[in-house]
Amino acid sequence: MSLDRLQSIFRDVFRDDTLVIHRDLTAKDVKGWDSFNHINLIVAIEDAYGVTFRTDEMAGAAAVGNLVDVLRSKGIAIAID
Amino acid sequence: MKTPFATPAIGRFEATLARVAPFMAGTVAKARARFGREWEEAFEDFLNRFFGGDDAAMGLAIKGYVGFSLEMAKLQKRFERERVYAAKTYAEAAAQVYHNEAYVNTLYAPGILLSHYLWPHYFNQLRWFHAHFAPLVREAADRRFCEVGVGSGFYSRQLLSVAPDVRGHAFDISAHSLDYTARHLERFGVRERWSGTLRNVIAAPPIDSPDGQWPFIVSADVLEHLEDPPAFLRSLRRMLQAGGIGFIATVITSANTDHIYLYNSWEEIRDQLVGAGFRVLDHQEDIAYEPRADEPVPRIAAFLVT
Repeated sequence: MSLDRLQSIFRDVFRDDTLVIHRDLTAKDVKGWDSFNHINLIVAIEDAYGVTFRTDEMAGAAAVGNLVDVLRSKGIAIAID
Repeated sequence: MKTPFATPAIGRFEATLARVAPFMAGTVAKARARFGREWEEAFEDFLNRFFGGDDAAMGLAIKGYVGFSLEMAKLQKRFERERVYAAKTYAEAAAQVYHNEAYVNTLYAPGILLSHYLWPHYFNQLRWFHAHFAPLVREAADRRFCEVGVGSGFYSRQLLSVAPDVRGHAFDISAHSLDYTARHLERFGVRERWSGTLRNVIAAPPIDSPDGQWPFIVSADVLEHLEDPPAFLRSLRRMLQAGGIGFIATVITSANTDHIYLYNSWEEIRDQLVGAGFRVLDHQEDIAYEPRADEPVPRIAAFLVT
């Protein structure tokens, strides 16, 4: 599965066409990544990949790497550094 | 010159929240900026008494709060699109939430408790409670109250703390909520003036029992959990002594795992209160945040009734 799709979701949610995601990227590094946009991000990922995040998966997604790991656990592998 | 107020417990809470959920890092600063010293004193006192310096316990409660908030926010996104709560019966909600010990202790009760300090509309409601209802209890000759649907024990603790001889009783359908409340009140030194009973007040109205009426009634965030709120309100009305005062609060357009009954305006709640035989003395409505467009936003409304 392409990394571009996930990156595109991030760019849409945070309205930043230059945003480059990597495993260690967290809310501290991204302007506007607050709880409101965290949910927007989760919902956009769910819609795009046809998956549902459990509460603990939403809460534990502190970094991009955590999101990628959740997707992998649901059978969606994304190669990311 | 104002004396700076030291808030070491809030500082530890803020650092832990930022580590556990970086996307919520600004939550504490926002509440502090909005409510100032009044909020700092209330939250610092709560953290010190409730957790007693046990940062591991505080960390678990923070995780519960984060999960509670996100679960609610995700359901609210769905509600924004569909304008109805997810279809669920009371029995389903009860099994999923109220009778689920792990859910109550790790997510639901900590979430309710902390949201009263961290969500502006809930802290505003608390201020209104202390300005308009708590003084009536403090100044009454008969300082007994009954809380129906005690949740985490938040409002019972507020009332038990306004005077040393206030006595409270609670009815709840969740044994886990009653247990959580007992532990909560124990930490504030008011447990011995409170008792709790497992009871559904619609199915088994307490008026049929000895001492089934109270001068003060509290019911916060219960109506939205019911299939038939008017039936519950009629039972509450019978529990209130002649001339007694009730504090009744509920949510408007605010989705959650166990929210069943949708109120779209505070007037709908007022009409149900009046229909149940209450007279509304006063009310306050608070909003979680300003809408960005025309989406429904979580609101809460509190009523003083007699």
